[in-house]
Amino acid sequence: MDDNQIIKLFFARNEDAIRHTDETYGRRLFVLADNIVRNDQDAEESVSDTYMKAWETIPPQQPLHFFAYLAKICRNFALGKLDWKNAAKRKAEVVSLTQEMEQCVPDTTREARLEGEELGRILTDFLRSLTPENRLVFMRRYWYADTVAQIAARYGISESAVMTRLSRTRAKLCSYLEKEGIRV
Amino acid sequence: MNGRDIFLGLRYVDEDLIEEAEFGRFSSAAQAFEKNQKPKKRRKLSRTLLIAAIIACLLALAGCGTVIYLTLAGEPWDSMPHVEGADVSREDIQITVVAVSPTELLYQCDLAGFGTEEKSVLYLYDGPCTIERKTESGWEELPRKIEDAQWIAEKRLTDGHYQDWIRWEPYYGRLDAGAYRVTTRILEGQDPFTLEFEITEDMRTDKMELAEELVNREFWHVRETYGKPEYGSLDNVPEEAKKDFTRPQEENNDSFEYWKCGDDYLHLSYNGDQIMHGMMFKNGVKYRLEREWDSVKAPIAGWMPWPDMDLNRLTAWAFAVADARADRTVTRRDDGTIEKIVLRKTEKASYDVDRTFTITEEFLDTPREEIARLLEEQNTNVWLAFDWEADQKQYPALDVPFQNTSPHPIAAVADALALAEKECTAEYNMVVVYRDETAGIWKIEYQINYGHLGYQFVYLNDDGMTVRISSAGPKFG
Repeated sequence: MDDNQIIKLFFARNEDAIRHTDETYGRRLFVLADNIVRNDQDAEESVSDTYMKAWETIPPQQPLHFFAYLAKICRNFALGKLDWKNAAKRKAEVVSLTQEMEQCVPDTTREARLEGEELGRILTDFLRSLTPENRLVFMRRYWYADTVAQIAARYGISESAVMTRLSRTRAKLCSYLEKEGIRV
Repeated sequence: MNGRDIFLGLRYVDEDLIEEAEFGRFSSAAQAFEKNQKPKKRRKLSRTLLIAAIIACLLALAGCGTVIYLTLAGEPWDSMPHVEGADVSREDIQITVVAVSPTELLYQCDLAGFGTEEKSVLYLYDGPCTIERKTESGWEELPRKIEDAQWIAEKRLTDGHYQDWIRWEPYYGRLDAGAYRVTTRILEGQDPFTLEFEITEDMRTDKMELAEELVNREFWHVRETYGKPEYGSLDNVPEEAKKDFTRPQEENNDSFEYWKCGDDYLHLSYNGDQIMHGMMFKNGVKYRLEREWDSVKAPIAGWMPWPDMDLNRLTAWAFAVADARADRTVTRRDDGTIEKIVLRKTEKASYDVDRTFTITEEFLDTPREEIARLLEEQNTNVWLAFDWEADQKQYPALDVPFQNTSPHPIAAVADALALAEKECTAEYNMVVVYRDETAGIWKIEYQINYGHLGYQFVYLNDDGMTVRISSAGPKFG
């Protein structure tokens, strides 16, 4: 069943919408959530919460990018469940991710406070400036919280190639944010 | 803003990017590259990139040991599809030595079947190299003159056959006669390549004579100006790509100024009249000048000391000038001293467009006393601001005993540095001094690999007693 058909079920308030959503995207959403929380139960709860949120919001929402719509909700739920203080003990990948992201923060904007949506706009513009391959790798790492090994396997490249792309992209992001920091 | 903010901020990126990352594949540039694998006429493309070499040396000279991605503004490649080194099969790469001198090596790289029609771009990697000398017992690495230098000059290749230089002089100096091998990466995403070569006694050049003349001057004042690249005919350039040739150099440093007096020196870079960056060696301490980004009218935020200094960084500049592979005009005064060096280099840009770089070095007649006074007037007792309360929330305190437990009032930055040094356990390569005036707290930030690997923070009160030690960054997990 394609996205439009599933969304029609949501609009019809047909509970099969949930089942078809789960059949189509359940596994992907679980992997995303599990990458973040590193706990099966929390990941499953994040996915379930995602379906409920979708049920509550469609309609009136009619997502153009249905999977992205679900994934954003799921990622937010997973991040909400994350116990940041104990994340390191649980070896959550998100700890590494935030540390890597720390390298992207230029000293000049370290004190800046950005609204999330404004930062999102800047990040979107930055991502669109990348080569498609580097954008995919960056998003897999920092949006989907994939490990370097997962990314290497997904795209059939070496782990060192993944790390090289990530390293260079982080440096570019740092300089991009530095430039943006002048006017935010 | 911190790393977590960015990570969380990603939740707001556009949804098409999220779906692209879930369902997309390496299909555009990479696959296009694979499809373009077909024989083509081989054409040698000289890509010595004089400016990249000189700027890289300047950066090394300036002590910018952090990883620097050097992109030349106005390069006509941005609107072309890109291929990564990781996408190139190792067996398709052939690298051969073309020429050797005691300071550099010219190699040729042939990439089989790369980017037909010159419409694809490959990133080249021009970074640190390792030089080993052949001895009776095997290969032995030469001692480095600069340990912490690590920069990347990012170049872009539009043809599969090119020549470029590996310049080791800033790191290893000039090599004596003997058998050597150099190992360097060349292509991102590929393992390093190793090339063997031999240095003979007769490899001395007039450029080296000039370099030594520059190095051996006891004092100098030099102004270096980069002209905007001039392009030849754009008749054969697609309309969409023409903008890349005419893009203004707004973000670039376009001139540099050096003052040297004995062992001390000062180096500033400018964009127009605006000071962008600077470095200084004064009384045995190395300083970096930070630009005040949020107030362009007040460019100088403070001199921040670095722990080590290698004066070879300065001499690297002289060799960069003298070793430049370009048409060079040297004008001398009546007394034989150098008045001006004009370097001019023409090479092919993409689409076979001629591109000419011009760099002018003016050796000014500034008296030694005036240079000494300028250096003396540089105020190093300055610091950046920070928020003590916010730092306490952001960086957890380490549970370690303090060394500074009795009062030693801090009167100047130097006092704070000396006290903080007793507490520091990190292998840092840069120090930044902060102060919260309201709280009366000093913060000494020790950067590990320029912060890329992490930070250690030592906090002192005005009595010179340590009140907190924290750390952050990947090194500290």
